[in-house]
Amino acid sequence: MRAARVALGLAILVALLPARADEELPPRVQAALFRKIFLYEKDLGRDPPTVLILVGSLSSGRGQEMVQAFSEAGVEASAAELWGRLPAINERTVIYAFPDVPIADLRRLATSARVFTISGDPQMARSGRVSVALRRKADGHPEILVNLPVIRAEGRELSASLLTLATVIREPDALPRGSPP
Amino acid sequence: MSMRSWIRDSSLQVRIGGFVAAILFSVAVFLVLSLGAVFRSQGRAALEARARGMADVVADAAGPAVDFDDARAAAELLRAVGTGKDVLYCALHRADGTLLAGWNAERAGAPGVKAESREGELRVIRPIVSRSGVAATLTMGFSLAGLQTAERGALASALAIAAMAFLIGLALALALARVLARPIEQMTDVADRITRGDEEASRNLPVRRGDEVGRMACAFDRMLTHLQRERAALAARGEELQRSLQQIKETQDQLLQVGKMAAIGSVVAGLSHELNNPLGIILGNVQGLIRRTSDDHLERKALLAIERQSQRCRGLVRTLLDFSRKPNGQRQHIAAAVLVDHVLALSGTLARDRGILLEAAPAPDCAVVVAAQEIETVLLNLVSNALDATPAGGRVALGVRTLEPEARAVEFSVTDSGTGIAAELLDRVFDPFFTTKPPGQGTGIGLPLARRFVEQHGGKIVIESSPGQGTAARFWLPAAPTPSRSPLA
Repeated sequence: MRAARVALGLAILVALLPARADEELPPRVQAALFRKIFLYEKDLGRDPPTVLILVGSLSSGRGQEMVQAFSEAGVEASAAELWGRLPAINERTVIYAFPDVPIADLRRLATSARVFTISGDPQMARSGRVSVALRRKADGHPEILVNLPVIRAEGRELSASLLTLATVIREPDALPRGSPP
Repeated sequence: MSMRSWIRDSSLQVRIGGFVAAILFSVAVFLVLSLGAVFRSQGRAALEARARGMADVVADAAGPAVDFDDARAAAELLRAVGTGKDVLYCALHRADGTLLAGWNAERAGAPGVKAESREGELRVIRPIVSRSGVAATLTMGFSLAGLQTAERGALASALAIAAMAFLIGLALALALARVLARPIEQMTDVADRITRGDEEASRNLPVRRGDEVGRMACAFDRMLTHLQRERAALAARGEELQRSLQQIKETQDQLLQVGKMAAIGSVVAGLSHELNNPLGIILGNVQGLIRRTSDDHLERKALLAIERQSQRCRGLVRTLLDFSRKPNGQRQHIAAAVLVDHVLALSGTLARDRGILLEAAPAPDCAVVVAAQEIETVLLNLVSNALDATPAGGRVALGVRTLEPEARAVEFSVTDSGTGIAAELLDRVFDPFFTTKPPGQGTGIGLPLARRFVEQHGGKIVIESSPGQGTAARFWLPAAPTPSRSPLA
């Protein structure tokens, strides 16, 4: 209930802010929304997963903000660089990627380990780098973007009822060159 | 008319038809009522199940919208749901009672209130807890109009089917009753026809059927056959009894006649015997006086008159003695033609004197065994009566013929063209001393004596007459047996 209230409050707050197209949501809002989205994934719905926040050279500072936001939302999270020392990765691991993470290495890792990938940058989902991303719409409300080919490639499955709320991207052409089939 | 008497007096067809109609009507009413109740309850249950299932689906689909507080997605969902059949309204309220989304939500009323369904609608309230634990309430209303329309349609269909089944059943029952009653009516008709005298009607009995009616028809047929046999036997006994009665009557008449004749005969015999002696003395003395009286004596005519009348009285007494005398039994074989010739010879002079034609047709070759004098007396009496009854110029005919077959009897007849005898007198002509002749001309003994002689010979005599057309007297005697011819002849 507490999380729901927080999410509701954040949603109202976001709605009151002046809206801009493709604007990223605040880390706490993202964490609260992603925590709910995890509930609609087939393997992650029972227990909260562990979130690995991959940062690039430009986003190392924002990584800590996201770790804190996920922790406040009740989700265990840690930040690391893709070429650095990574913690153990399994099917209950979710990778939150910033735009400056090398795309080819990210996709190879996600596909091989069947890891669910998310991002706060909507362009990451549109371009097929991650499965799910968030954005703030022009009316201030958040929007969920789901890249269906990518999520299938990662062996994940979202509830159909969630897909009715989300903007579904179906074009496999959106996958970046060099990504695994 | 009471129900019991109506049932008792109605025909079998009406009773079977009425009984089946009552059963069919009861079953039809029961089916219509029970089908209506069953359809109503099952229709309501089906609608409730459908409403609950629909609410479950909507609640499940609305989970993400509740989770993410997405009023737009929730409104789209409820709008899509609202286009469903029989859906009146649907509303999704947050846990704090505020409306998240709705379709015709104003009809849903206060959120979370478990209100009773209003008239004509079914209200379903479904609490929702999202995957992230957010609570909400889904309220949906469904119209019962479709269900009620379907109920009315089903009831009308059930009524139509029940009415059709009732009519078909009634028609079949009447046909069955007719099939059952027809052989009974047929047997009744046969009984009526037989009562009216149609003996051939029993052929129409339905005896070829193998059922109870067929067995009853067979029994009825046997009873009819038995009755016909009994009736024929009864008729034969009746005829026999009639003949016996006729014979008894004839015997009684004969006994009466014999008794009468015996009584008269004894009186006449005594009287004749007493008269015969004085008459003999008178006649002897008168004849002696006549012999002693000359022809020219004046008293001779008176004596001759006394002698004629005495002779007449003597003849009368002799006739009376013949009447009372027992048969002498001296019978002889004599040809019928000989008898007729004797009578013609004896009566010819009298007929000529009276100007009457007395004739006889040639007699056939036949003979009788009789006391010839008696039969001649019979013929003479009959001829005498005929001559008395026939005026001058008339005709009296004697006839003889043999009766077929095999000439067992010989008929003698005397017919005249005289005045005839009245019908009321015919029955009395054989009574002794009955005569229609003037006093002094008839004794009333001739015909009784003739009847006595004929019957003593085993024959029979009848008198047929019609006033103004003459009289025919006939008597029959057994024919004499024909002598067998010798093979050497």
